[in-house]
Amino acid sequence: MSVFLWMLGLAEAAELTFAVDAGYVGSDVVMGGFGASAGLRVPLTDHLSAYGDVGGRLFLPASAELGLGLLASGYFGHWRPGVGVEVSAFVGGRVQRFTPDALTLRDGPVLSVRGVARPLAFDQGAWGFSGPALALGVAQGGGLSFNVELVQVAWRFGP
Amino acid sequence: MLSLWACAPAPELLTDGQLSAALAVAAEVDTTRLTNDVARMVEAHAADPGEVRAPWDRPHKRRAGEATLTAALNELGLTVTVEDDSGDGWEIHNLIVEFPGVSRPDEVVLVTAHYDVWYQGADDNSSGVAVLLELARALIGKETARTVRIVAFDAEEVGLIGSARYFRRHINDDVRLVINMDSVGFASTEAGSQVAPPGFTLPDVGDFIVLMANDVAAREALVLGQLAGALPEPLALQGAVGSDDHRSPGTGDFHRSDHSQAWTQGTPGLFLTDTTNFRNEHYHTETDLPETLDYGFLTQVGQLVVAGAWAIADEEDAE
Repeated sequence: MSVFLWMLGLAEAAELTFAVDAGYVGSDVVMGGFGASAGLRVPLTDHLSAYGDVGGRLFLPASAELGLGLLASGYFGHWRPGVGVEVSAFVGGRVQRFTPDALTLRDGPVLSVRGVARPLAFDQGAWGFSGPALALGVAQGGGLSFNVELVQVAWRFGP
Repeated sequence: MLSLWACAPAPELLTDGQLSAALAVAAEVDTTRLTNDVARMVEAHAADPGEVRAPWDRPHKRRAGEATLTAALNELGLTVTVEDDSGDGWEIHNLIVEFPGVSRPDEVVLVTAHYDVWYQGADDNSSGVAVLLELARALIGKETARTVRIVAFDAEEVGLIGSARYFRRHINDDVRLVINMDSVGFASTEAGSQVAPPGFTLPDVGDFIVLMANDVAAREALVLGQLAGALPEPLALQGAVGSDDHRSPGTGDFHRSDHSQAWTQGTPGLFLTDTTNFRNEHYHTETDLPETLDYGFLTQVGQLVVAGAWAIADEEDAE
Protein backbone atom coordinates (compact mmCIF):
# COMPACT_ATOMS: atom_id res chain seq x y z
CA MET A 1 0.00 0.00 0.00
CA SER A 2 2.81 2.38 0.78
CA VAL A 3 4.19 2.01 -2.75
CA PHE A 4 0.75 2.79 -4.12
CA LEU A 5 0.55 5.95 -2.02
CA TRP A 6 4.02 6.98 -3.12
CA MET A 7 3.03 6.50 -6.73
CA LEU A 8 0.15 8.87 -6.18
CA GLY A 9 2.57 11.44 -4.89
CA LEU A 10 1.09 11.34 -1.43
CA ALA A 11 4.27 10.41 0.36
CA GLU A 12 7.32 12.46 1.10
CA ALA A 13 10.23 13.09 -1.21
CA ALA A 14 8.62 12.08 -4.48
CA GLU A 15 10.06 13.64 -7.63
CA LEU A 16 8.44 14.94 -10.75
CA THR A 17 10.61 14.29 -13.79
CA PHE A 18 10.70 15.88 -17.19
CA ALA A 19 12.89 14.62 -20.01
CA VAL A 20 13.77 15.18 -23.62
CA ASP A 21 14.23 11.74 -25.11
CA ALA A 22 13.75 9.29 -27.94
CA GLY A 23 12.28 5.81 -27.81
CA TYR A 24 12.17 2.96 -30.30
CA VAL A 25 11.03 -0.62 -30.68
CA GLY A 26 11.82 -2.58 -33.81
CA SER A 27 10.49 -6.08 -34.07
CA ASP A 28 7.50 -7.22 -36.06
CA VAL A 29 6.17 -3.82 -35.04
CA VAL A 30 8.28 -0.71 -35.57
CA MET A 31 7.40 2.30 -33.42
CA GLY A 32 9.03 5.29 -31.88
CA GLY A 33 10.69 8.61 -32.44
CA PHE A 34 11.81 11.74 -30.71
CA GLY A 35 9.83 13.47 -28.00
CA ALA A 36 9.49 14.35 -24.36
CA SER A 37 8.39 12.55 -21.22
CA ALA A 38 6.99 13.41 -17.83
CA GLY A 39 6.91 11.13 -14.84
CA LEU A 40 6.92 10.52 -11.13
CA ARG A 41 9.71 8.89 -9.11
CA VAL A 42 9.27 7.81 -5.52
CA PRO A 43 11.81 6.40 -3.06
CA LEU A 44 11.24 2.88 -1.81
CA THR A 45 14.43 2.71 0.30
CA ASP A 46 17.48 4.92 0.67
CA HIS A 47 18.96 3.55 -2.54
CA LEU A 48 15.99 2.27 -4.51
CA SER A 49 13.24 4.20 -6.20
CA ALA A 50 10.31 3.35 -8.43
CA TYR A 51 9.18 5.45 -11.32
CA GLY A 52 6.55 5.75 -13.94
CA ASP A 53 6.52 8.03 -16.95
CA VAL A 54 4.71 8.74 -20.17
CA GLY A 55 6.17 10.25 -23.33
CA GLY A 56 5.09 11.30 -26.78
CA ARG A 57 6.97 10.08 -29.86
CA LEU A 58 7.20 11.65 -33.31
CA PHE A 59 9.18 10.35 -36.29
CA LEU A 60 7.55 7.09 -37.16
CA PRO A 61 3.74 7.34 -36.92
CA ALA A 62 2.87 9.29 -33.77
CA SER A 63 2.86 7.11 -30.67
CA ALA A 64 3.17 7.23 -26.91
CA GLU A 65 5.54 5.37 -24.62
CA LEU A 66 4.68 4.41 -21.05
CA GLY A 67 7.30 3.15 -18.64
CA LEU A 68 7.49 1.63 -15.17
CA GLY A 69 10.81 0.94 -13.55
CA LEU A 70 13.06 0.48 -10.58
CA LEU A 71 16.24 2.49 -10.16
CA ALA A 72 19.07 1.75 -7.72
CA SER A 73 21.16 4.81 -6.99
CA GLY A 74 24.38 5.51 -5.23
CA TYR A 75 25.26 8.79 -3.49
CA PHE A 76 28.64 10.42 -3.88
CA GLY A 77 28.18 14.00 -2.81
CA HIS A 78 25.88 15.54 -5.38
CA TRP A 79 26.50 12.73 -7.83
CA ARG A 80 23.74 10.13 -7.89
CA PRO A 81 24.48 7.51 -10.59
CA GLY A 82 21.92 4.80 -11.01
CA VAL A 83 21.16 1.53 -12.74
CA GLY A 84 17.84 -0.19 -13.04
CA VAL A 85 15.29 -2.12 -14.98
CA GLU A 86 12.10 -0.99 -16.64
CA VAL A 87 9.12 -2.22 -18.57
CA SER A 88 7.83 -0.01 -21.34
CA ALA A 89 4.75 -0.12 -23.50
CA PHE A 90 4.41 1.63 -26.85
CA VAL A 91 0.90 2.46 -27.96
CA GLY A 92 -0.42 4.19 -31.06
CA GLY A 93 0.90 4.60 -34.57
CA ARG A 94 3.16 1.96 -35.98
CA VAL A 95 4.57 0.17 -38.98
CA GLN A 96 3.62 -3.47 -38.73
CA ARG A 97 5.71 -5.99 -40.56
CA PHE A 98 4.64 -9.35 -41.90
CA THR A 99 5.82 -12.14 -44.15
CA PRO A 100 3.94 -14.93 -45.92
CA ASP A 101 4.93 -17.19 -43.02
CA ALA A 102 3.48 -14.83 -40.40
CA LEU A 103 0.33 -13.15 -41.67
CA THR A 104 -0.60 -11.39 -38.46
CA LEU A 105 -1.02 -7.80 -37.38
CA ARG A 106 -0.91 -6.64 -33.79
CA ASP A 107 -3.07 -3.79 -32.54
CA GLY A 108 -2.24 -3.69 -28.84
CA PRO A 109 0.67 -2.18 -26.94
CA VAL A 110 4.16 -3.38 -27.72
CA LEU A 111 5.97 -4.27 -24.52
CA SER A 112 9.69 -4.16 -23.81
CA VAL A 113 12.00 -5.04 -20.94
CA ARG A 114 15.13 -2.92 -20.64
CA GLY A 115 18.14 -2.39 -18.48
CA VAL A 116 18.70 1.23 -17.47
CA ALA A 117 21.92 3.16 -16.96
CA ARG A 118 21.78 6.70 -15.59
CA PRO A 119 25.43 7.54 -14.96
CA LEU A 120 25.32 11.33 -15.00
CA ALA A 121 22.68 12.22 -12.42
CA PHE A 122 23.25 14.98 -9.90
CA ASP A 123 21.26 16.49 -7.03
CA GLN A 124 21.20 20.05 -5.81
CA GLY A 125 18.63 20.76 -3.12
CA ALA A 126 15.15 20.06 -4.44
CA TRP A 127 16.43 19.75 -7.98
CA GLY A 128 17.98 16.91 -9.86
CA PHE A 129 19.66 16.91 -13.23
CA SER A 130 20.64 13.97 -15.40
CA GLY A 131 22.67 14.00 -18.58
CA PRO A 132 22.49 11.29 -21.24
CA ALA A 133 20.91 8.07 -20.00
CA LEU A 134 20.20 4.84 -21.80
CA ALA A 135 17.63 2.11 -21.49
CA LEU A 136 18.35 -0.87 -23.72
CA GLY A 137 16.54 -4.15 -24.04
CA VAL A 138 14.30 -6.48 -25.94
CA ALA A 139 10.89 -5.77 -27.41
CA GLN A 140 7.96 -8.10 -27.62
CA GLY A 141 8.59 -10.17 -30.73
CA GLY A 142 12.32 -10.26 -30.12
CA GLY A 143 13.55 -6.99 -31.58
CA LEU A 144 15.57 -4.12 -30.23
CA SER A 145 14.09 -1.66 -27.78
CA PHE A 146 15.76 1.43 -26.46
CA ASN A 147 15.20 4.81 -24.93
CA VAL A 148 17.83 7.52 -25.09
CA GLU A 149 17.30 10.36 -22.70
CA LEU A 150 19.24 13.48 -23.57
CA VAL A 151 18.42 15.39 -20.44
CA GLN A 152 16.16 14.96 -17.44
CA VAL A 153 15.20 17.51 -14.83
CA ALA A 154 13.67 16.33 -11.54
CA TRP A 155 11.93 18.36 -8.88
CA ARG A 156 11.53 16.90 -5.41
CA PHE A 157 8.40 17.79 -3.52
CA GLY A 158 6.75 16.93 -0.21
CA PRO A 159 7.99 17.35 3.33
CA MET B 1 -3.29 -7.97 -19.20
CA LEU B 2 -3.76 -10.80 -21.64
CA SER B 3 -5.04 -8.36 -24.18
CA LEU B 4 -1.67 -6.64 -24.14
CA TRP B 5 -0.22 -9.67 -25.82
CA ALA B 6 -3.02 -10.31 -28.23
CA CYS B 7 -2.89 -9.87 -31.97
CA ALA B 8 -5.63 -8.09 -33.85
CA PRO B 9 -8.43 -10.39 -34.94
CA ALA B 10 -7.10 -12.07 -38.05
CA PRO B 11 -8.80 -10.66 -41.13
CA GLU B 12 -10.45 -13.20 -43.35
CA LEU B 13 -8.11 -14.02 -46.17
CA LEU B 14 -8.81 -15.95 -49.37
CA THR B 15 -10.63 -19.24 -49.26
CA ASP B 16 -9.04 -22.26 -50.92
CA GLY B 17 -11.34 -21.76 -53.89
CA GLN B 18 -10.46 -18.10 -54.30
CA LEU B 19 -6.79 -18.91 -53.89
CA SER B 20 -6.93 -21.58 -56.59
CA ALA B 21 -8.80 -19.32 -58.99
CA ALA B 22 -6.32 -16.47 -58.54
CA LEU B 23 -3.32 -18.76 -58.93
CA ALA B 24 -4.80 -20.26 -62.10
CA VAL B 25 -4.91 -16.80 -63.69
CA ALA B 26 -1.42 -16.03 -62.40
CA ALA B 27 -0.10 -19.18 -64.07
CA GLU B 28 -0.51 -17.40 -67.40
CA VAL B 29 2.36 -15.04 -66.59
CA ASP B 30 5.19 -15.85 -68.95
CA THR B 31 8.87 -15.23 -68.37
CA THR B 32 9.76 -14.94 -72.05
CA ARG B 33 7.12 -12.30 -72.68
CA LEU B 34 8.24 -10.34 -69.62
CA THR B 35 11.82 -10.48 -70.88
CA ASN B 36 10.82 -9.33 -74.34
CA ASP B 37 8.60 -6.52 -73.04
CA VAL B 38 11.36 -5.15 -70.84
CA ALA B 39 13.71 -5.23 -73.83
CA ARG B 40 11.14 -3.51 -76.04
CA MET B 41 10.55 -0.67 -73.60
CA VAL B 42 14.27 -0.23 -73.00
CA GLU B 43 14.84 -0.09 -76.74
CA ALA B 44 12.29 2.69 -77.01
CA HIS B 45 13.95 4.65 -74.21
CA ALA B 46 17.36 4.06 -75.77
CA ALA B 47 16.30 5.56 -79.07
CA ASP B 48 17.47 8.90 -77.73
CA PRO B 49 20.40 8.01 -75.49
CA GLY B 50 22.73 10.92 -76.20
CA GLU B 51 23.55 12.67 -72.97
CA VAL B 52 20.05 12.16 -71.74
CA ARG B 53 19.82 12.00 -68.00
CA ALA B 54 16.59 13.04 -66.39
CA PRO B 55 13.23 12.65 -68.13
CA TRP B 56 12.62 16.38 -67.98
CA ASP B 57 15.55 16.90 -70.32
CA ARG B 58 13.72 15.18 -73.15
CA PRO B 59 9.91 15.25 -73.19
CA HIS B 60 9.97 13.35 -76.47
CA LYS B 61 11.74 10.52 -74.63
CA ARG B 62 8.56 10.10 -72.61
CA ARG B 63 6.53 10.16 -75.81
CA ALA B 64 8.69 7.34 -77.21
CA GLY B 65 7.82 5.24 -74.19
CA GLU B 66 4.18 6.13 -74.57
CA ALA B 67 4.15 5.14 -78.24
CA THR B 68 5.82 1.78 -77.60
CA LEU B 69 3.55 0.86 -74.71
CA THR B 70 0.46 1.95 -76.61
CA ALA B 71 1.52 -0.15 -79.58
CA ALA B 72 2.09 -3.18 -77.36
CA LEU B 73 -1.40 -2.84 -75.86
CA ASN B 74 -2.98 -2.26 -79.28
CA GLU B 75 -1.34 -5.43 -80.55
CA LEU B 76 -3.31 -7.27 -77.87
CA GLY B 77 -6.49 -5.83 -79.35
CA LEU B 78 -6.94 -3.43 -76.46
CA THR B 79 -8.08 0.16 -76.70
CA VAL B 80 -5.85 2.61 -74.88
CA THR B 81 -7.36 5.79 -73.49
CA VAL B 82 -4.87 8.61 -73.33
CA GLU B 83 -5.77 11.02 -70.56
CA ASP B 84 -4.15 14.29 -71.54
CA ASP B 85 -3.58 16.20 -68.32
CA SER B 86 -1.10 18.62 -69.78
CA GLY B 87 -0.68 22.01 -68.21
CA ASP B 88 1.68 24.23 -66.25
CA GLY B 89 4.44 23.51 -68.71
CA TRP B 90 4.09 19.76 -68.54
CA GLU B 91 2.79 17.51 -71.28
CA ILE B 92 1.24 14.65 -69.34
CA HIS B 93 -0.24 11.55 -70.98
CA ASN B 94 -1.51 8.84 -68.65
CA LEU B 95 -2.41 5.62 -70.47
CA ILE B 96 -5.47 3.64 -69.40
CA VAL B 97 -6.84 0.24 -70.32
CA GLU B 98 -10.01 -0.84 -68.58
CA PHE B 99 -11.62 -4.22 -68.04
CA PRO B 100 -15.17 -3.42 -66.85
CA GLY B 101 -16.50 -5.39 -63.92
CA VAL B 102 -19.57 -7.52 -64.33
CA SER B 103 -21.46 -7.08 -61.06
CA ARG B 104 -19.69 -4.12 -59.42
CA PRO B 105 -18.42 -2.10 -62.36
CA ASP B 106 -18.25 1.14 -60.36
CA GLU B 107 -15.76 -0.37 -57.93
CA VAL B 108 -12.27 -0.16 -59.35
CA VAL B 109 -9.07 -2.06 -58.73
CA LEU B 110 -6.25 0.08 -60.10
CA VAL B 111 -3.01 -1.56 -61.15
CA THR B 112 -0.36 0.99 -61.99
CA ALA B 113 3.26 1.59 -62.98
CA HIS B 114 5.03 4.59 -64.43
CA TYR B 115 6.44 4.40 -67.95
CA ASP B 116 8.86 7.32 -67.89
CA VAL B 117 12.48 6.54 -67.04
CA TRP B 118 15.93 7.82 -66.34
CA TYR B 119 18.36 6.67 -69.02
CA GLN B 120 16.96 3.37 -70.37
CA GLY B 121 15.21 2.28 -67.19
CA ALA B 122 15.11 -1.51 -67.30
CA ASP B 123 14.27 -2.05 -63.64
CA ASP B 124 12.92 1.45 -63.12
CA ASN B 125 10.38 0.99 -64.51
CA SER B 126 10.19 -1.17 -67.61
CA SER B 127 9.89 -4.10 -65.20
CA GLY B 128 6.65 -2.67 -63.81
CA VAL B 129 5.33 -1.87 -67.28
CA ALA B 130 6.06 -5.42 -68.42
CA VAL B 131 3.92 -6.73 -65.56
CA LEU B 132 1.11 -4.38 -66.60
CA LEU B 133 1.24 -5.96 -70.06
CA GLU B 134 1.12 -9.45 -68.59
CA LEU B 135 -1.88 -8.47 -66.48
CA ALA B 136 -3.62 -7.12 -69.57
CA ARG B 137 -2.96 -10.36 -71.44
CA ALA B 138 -4.24 -12.41 -68.51
CA LEU B 139 -7.49 -10.45 -68.26
CA ILE B 140 -8.43 -10.64 -71.93
CA GLY B 141 -11.55 -12.74 -72.32
CA LYS B 142 -12.16 -13.04 -68.58
CA GLU B 143 -14.73 -11.42 -66.31
CA THR B 144 -14.30 -10.06 -62.80
CA ALA B 145 -16.86 -8.65 -60.41
CA ARG B 146 -15.10 -5.30 -60.13
CA THR B 147 -13.50 -3.20 -62.81
CA VAL B 148 -9.77 -3.63 -63.29
CA ARG B 149 -8.18 -0.46 -64.59
CA ILE B 150 -4.57 -0.58 -65.74
CA VAL B 151 -2.91 2.81 -65.64
CA ALA B 152 0.57 3.62 -66.91
CA PHE B 153 1.55 6.93 -65.40
CA ASP B 154 3.56 9.59 -67.12
CA ALA B 155 6.13 11.80 -65.37
CA GLU B 156 6.68 9.91 -62.13
CA GLU B 157 10.38 10.62 -62.17
CA VAL B 158 9.88 14.36 -62.17
CA GLY B 159 7.76 14.45 -59.02
CA LEU B 160 4.79 12.11 -59.38
CA ILE B 161 3.11 14.60 -61.70
CA GLY B 162 1.22 12.10 -63.84
CA SER B 163 -0.30 10.27 -60.90
CA ALA B 164 -1.06 13.50 -59.05
CA ARG B 165 -3.11 14.70 -61.99
CA TYR B 166 -4.75 11.31 -62.45
CA PHE B 167 -5.90 11.08 -58.83
CA ARG B 168 -7.05 14.69 -58.85
CA ARG B 169 -9.15 14.03 -61.94
CA HIS B 170 -10.53 10.75 -60.53
CA ILE B 171 -11.01 11.85 -56.94
CA ASN B 172 -14.64 10.68 -56.92
CA ASP B 173 -13.92 7.19 -58.22
CA ASP B 174 -14.79 4.28 -55.95
CA VAL B 175 -11.33 2.78 -55.76
CA ARG B 176 -11.28 -0.54 -53.95
CA LEU B 177 -7.51 -0.89 -54.14
CA VAL B 178 -4.44 0.52 -55.86
CA ILE B 179 -1.58 -1.85 -56.62
CA ASN B 180 1.42 0.18 -57.75
CA MET B 181 4.68 -1.25 -59.00
CA ASP B 182 7.93 0.63 -59.26
CA SER B 183 11.12 -1.32 -59.95
CA VAL B 184 10.21 -4.95 -59.43
CA GLY B 185 12.81 -6.92 -61.38
CA PHE B 186 16.12 -6.69 -59.54
CA ALA B 187 17.14 -9.34 -57.03
CA SER B 188 20.36 -10.66 -55.62
CA THR B 189 21.35 -13.77 -53.69
CA GLU B 190 24.56 -12.24 -52.39
CA ALA B 191 25.02 -11.60 -48.69
CA GLY B 192 25.12 -7.90 -47.98
CA SER B 193 23.18 -7.00 -51.10
CA GLN B 194 20.33 -5.40 -49.18
CA VAL B 195 20.30 -2.37 -46.95
CA ALA B 196 17.36 -0.85 -45.13
CA PRO B 197 16.02 2.65 -44.63
CA PRO B 198 16.90 4.26 -41.28
CA GLY B 199 14.86 2.82 -38.43
CA PHE B 200 14.08 -0.44 -40.21
CA THR B 201 15.73 -3.79 -40.65
CA LEU B 202 15.56 -6.04 -43.69
CA PRO B 203 17.16 -9.38 -44.50
CA ASP B 204 20.75 -9.10 -45.61
CA VAL B 205 20.12 -10.81 -48.95
CA GLY B 206 18.06 -8.85 -51.48
CA ASP B 207 16.02 -11.69 -52.92
CA PHE B 208 12.58 -10.53 -51.75
CA ILE B 209 9.92 -8.09 -52.83
CA VAL B 210 8.77 -5.37 -50.44
CA LEU B 211 5.06 -4.73 -50.10
CA MET B 212 3.99 -1.55 -48.36
CA ALA B 213 0.40 -0.73 -47.47
CA ASN B 214 -1.47 2.05 -45.77
CA ASP B 215 -3.62 0.95 -42.88
CA VAL B 216 -6.86 0.87 -44.88
CA ALA B 217 -5.26 -1.69 -47.18
CA ALA B 218 -4.02 -3.91 -44.36
CA ARG B 219 -6.27 -6.81 -45.23
CA GLU B 220 -5.38 -6.65 -48.94
CA ALA B 221 -1.70 -6.59 -48.01
CA LEU B 222 -2.15 -9.81 -46.08
CA VAL B 223 -4.03 -11.31 -49.03
CA LEU B 224 -1.03 -10.62 -51.26
CA GLY B 225 1.18 -12.09 -48.57
CA GLN B 226 -1.01 -15.19 -48.64
CA LEU B 227 -0.72 -15.37 -52.42
CA ALA B 228 3.07 -14.86 -52.37
CA GLY B 229 3.41 -17.90 -50.14
CA ALA B 230 1.10 -19.94 -52.34
CA LEU B 231 2.77 -19.32 -55.70
CA PRO B 232 4.24 -22.38 -57.45
CA GLU B 233 7.60 -20.97 -56.43
CA PRO B 234 6.81 -19.01 -53.27
CA LEU B 235 7.97 -15.40 -53.46
CA ALA B 236 9.90 -14.06 -50.49
CA LEU B 237 8.05 -10.98 -49.32
CA GLN B 238 8.59 -8.39 -46.61
CA GLY B 239 5.35 -6.58 -45.84
CA ALA B 240 4.81 -3.35 -43.96
CA VAL B 241 1.46 -1.86 -43.01
CA GLY B 242 1.62 1.65 -41.61
CA SER B 243 -0.57 4.01 -39.63
CA ASP B 244 -1.59 7.44 -40.84
CA ASP B 245 -0.92 6.59 -44.49
CA HIS B 246 2.83 6.60 -43.80
CA ARG B 247 2.88 10.39 -43.52
CA SER B 248 5.43 10.49 -40.72
CA PRO B 249 9.01 11.67 -41.33
CA GLY B 250 10.42 8.20 -40.70
CA THR B 251 8.38 6.64 -43.49
CA GLY B 252 9.14 9.24 -46.15
CA ASP B 253 10.92 6.63 -48.27
CA PHE B 254 7.67 4.69 -48.47
CA HIS B 255 6.11 7.47 -50.57
CA ARG B 256 8.61 7.40 -53.38
CA SER B 257 6.23 6.40 -56.16
CA ASP B 258 2.79 6.97 -57.61
CA HIS B 259 0.80 5.17 -54.89
CA SER B 260 1.71 8.13 -52.67
CA GLN B 261 -1.09 10.09 -54.30
CA ALA B 262 -3.58 7.39 -53.35
CA TRP B 263 -2.30 7.19 -49.78
CA THR B 264 -2.52 10.95 -49.45
CA GLN B 265 -6.22 10.69 -50.34
CA GLY B 266 -6.71 7.85 -47.84
CA THR B 267 -7.35 5.42 -50.68
CA PRO B 268 -6.32 1.81 -50.01
CA GLY B 269 -2.99 1.31 -51.71
CA LEU B 270 -0.23 -1.26 -52.02
CA PHE B 271 3.27 -0.56 -53.24
CA LEU B 272 5.51 -3.30 -54.60
CA THR B 273 9.20 -2.62 -55.09
CA ASP B 274 12.59 -4.30 -55.06
CA THR B 275 13.67 -1.26 -52.96
CA THR B 276 15.69 0.33 -55.83
CA ASN B 277 18.74 2.13 -54.41
CA PHE B 278 18.63 0.08 -51.20
CA ARG B 279 19.57 -2.92 -53.35
CA ASN B 280 20.24 -1.98 -56.96
CA GLU B 281 23.49 -0.18 -57.74
CA HIS B 282 22.17 0.59 -61.23
CA TYR B 283 19.31 2.73 -59.91
CA HIS B 284 18.96 5.90 -61.99
CA THR B 285 22.14 5.25 -63.91
CA GLU B 286 22.93 4.36 -67.50
CA THR B 287 23.63 0.79 -66.42
CA ASP B 288 19.99 0.08 -65.50
CA LEU B 289 19.85 -2.39 -68.39
CA PRO B 290 17.84 -5.54 -69.13
CA GLU B 291 20.72 -7.90 -68.45
CA THR B 292 20.85 -6.78 -64.81
CA LEU B 293 17.36 -8.08 -64.06
CA ASP B 294 16.34 -11.43 -62.59
CA TYR B 295 13.52 -12.60 -64.82
CA GLY B 296 12.59 -15.49 -62.55
CA PHE B 297 12.05 -12.98 -59.77
CA LEU B 298 10.14 -10.67 -62.12
CA THR B 299 7.93 -13.59 -63.12
CA GLN B 300 7.12 -14.31 -59.48
CA VAL B 301 6.24 -10.65 -58.92
CA GLY B 302 4.11 -10.70 -62.07
CA GLN B 303 2.28 -13.76 -60.81
CA LEU B 304 1.69 -12.07 -57.47
CA VAL B 305 0.28 -8.92 -59.07
CA VAL B 306 -1.96 -10.81 -61.49
CA ALA B 307 -3.22 -13.10 -58.73
CA GLY B 308 -3.73 -10.20 -56.33
CA ALA B 309 -5.57 -8.03 -58.81
CA TRP B 310 -7.76 -10.92 -59.81
CA ALA B 311 -8.50 -11.97 -56.25
CA ILE B 312 -9.50 -8.50 -55.07
CA ALA B 313 -11.41 -7.66 -58.24
CA ASP B 314 -13.38 -10.87 -58.19
CA GLU B 315 -14.33 -11.00 -54.52
CA GLU B 316 -18.09 -10.76 -54.80
CA ASP B 317 -18.84 -10.50 -51.13
CA ALA B 318 -15.96 -8.44 -49.82
CA GLU B 319 -16.88 -5.10 -48.30
